[in-house]
Amino acid sequence: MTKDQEFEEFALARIPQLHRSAWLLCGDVHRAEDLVQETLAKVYVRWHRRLGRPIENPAAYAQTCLVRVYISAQRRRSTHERPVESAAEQAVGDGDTDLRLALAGALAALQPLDRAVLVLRYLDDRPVAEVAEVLGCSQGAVRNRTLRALDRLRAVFGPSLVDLLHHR
Amino acid sequence: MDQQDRNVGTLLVEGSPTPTDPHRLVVAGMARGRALRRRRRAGTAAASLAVLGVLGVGAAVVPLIAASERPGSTGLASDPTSSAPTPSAPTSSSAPSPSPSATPQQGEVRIGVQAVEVPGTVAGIVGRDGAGALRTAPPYTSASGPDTLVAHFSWMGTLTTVVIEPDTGNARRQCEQGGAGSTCSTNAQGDPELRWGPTTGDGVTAQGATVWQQGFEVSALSYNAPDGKDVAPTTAAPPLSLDELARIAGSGVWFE
Repeated sequence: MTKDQEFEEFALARIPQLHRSAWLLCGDVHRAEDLVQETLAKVYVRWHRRLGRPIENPAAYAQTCLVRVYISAQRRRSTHERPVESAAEQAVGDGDTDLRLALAGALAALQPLDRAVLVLRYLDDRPVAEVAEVLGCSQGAVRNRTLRALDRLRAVFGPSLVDLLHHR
Repeated sequence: MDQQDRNVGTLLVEGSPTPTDPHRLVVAGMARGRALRRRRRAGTAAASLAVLGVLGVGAAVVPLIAASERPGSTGLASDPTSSAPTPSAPTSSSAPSPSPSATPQQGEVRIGVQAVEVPGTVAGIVGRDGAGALRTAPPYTSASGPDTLVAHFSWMGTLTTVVIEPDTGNARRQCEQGGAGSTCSTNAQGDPELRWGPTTGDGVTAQGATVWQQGFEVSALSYNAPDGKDVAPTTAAPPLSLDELARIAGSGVWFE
C-alpha cells in the first residue's frame, strides 16, 4: 500500500469525526467542509514528510490540527471580515433537523474558544490539561470556558441536557 | 466521565450532521495537500526544511569532499532520508500510520546528478544561461542521494528549485488531483505531467511542473523573487516558463 493509499484510508475513516467537530466549531456545513479539507491538507503534508518525527497518533493529530485551523481562521475573520445577517442553514437531509437547529443556535452564542473547549472536552473526550495545551491557555481558563459553554447548552436543552434527547 | 459529560457528548454527536460525500472531501483535501506540499518544497516552510538542511549539508557536502579524494568514485551522497525514524503505530485502530517510502532496489534506476550540478544541468536543458549559485544556507540547503535530490539555486536572481523523490504510487491519480490552477496531461514520453501556477502567495508568484518518470517524482519550480515568500519580486513573472519547467521535470538526464 502506498503512502497515498494509507492516507486515503486514514482520512476516510476519520472524516465523520472531523466533519462533526468542524460543524460544531463553525456551525455551517460548507465552512465545515472547507475546514476539514484544509485540515486534511495539513495532515497530508505531515504524513508525507520524509524527515523528522513521525505522527504518533494521526487521529489525535488531525483533531488538534482541525481545532487550530479553526481558531486561526477565526482570528483572521475577526480582523478582516464584517458580520452580515446570517442565512438559514439548509437542511442536510439526515438526522434530526430540530435538534441540529437548536444545537446550532446554542453554539452560535458561544465564543470560538468556548466551542473549541466543548468539542475537545466532550466530543474528543480530552482531559482539561490536554485541552489547555491544544488551545494555549491555562487549565483554569478551560474550566471557566467549559462552565460557560455548559450553562449555555443547559439554557437551551434543560438542566440535565437530556430533555430534548428524551423527546426524540 | 460522569452522566452529564456523557449527555453532552451524546448531544454533540446526535445534533451534528454527517458529511454527504466523504470521498469527495478526502479527494479535495488530498489535492490541497499536494498543492501545499509542492509550495513547501521550494523552501517556504523553514520548519520542515530545517531538518532537511542539517542532514542535507552532511549529505551533499561531505560525500563531495570524499568523492574528490577517491578517483573513480561517483561522488553520490548517501541517502539523506536513511536516518529518518520509522513511524510508530497509531493508537487508534482505524488510523493506519505513515510508512517510510520505498527506496530504489539494486539494479533499478537511480539519480545520477548531484545537487551542485543541478544549476548547470538546468541551463543545459532549457538551452540558455541564467543559472546562479546553489543555495547552501538554511533553509535552502540541498541534498543529494541515490533516491532523493533537492536543489535550491538562483536563476536570473530568482529562487528555483528541483526536487526528485521516489514515486509514492498512483502517479496518474496524483497528477489528475493536482488541485485548483493545475493541469494534468501526458508528455511525449507517455509520463504524467502536472503543470501548476502561476500562483501568488506571501507576495511571491510561483509556478512549477511535476513529471512522474522512471519510478520518481520530478518537480521543478520557479519563483519571481530571490526567496519563496515575504520578499519583493525582482521579475514580473517567474523567469522559467511552464514549458521549460516541464522539460526540466521530464528530462531523463537526472537518472542513471
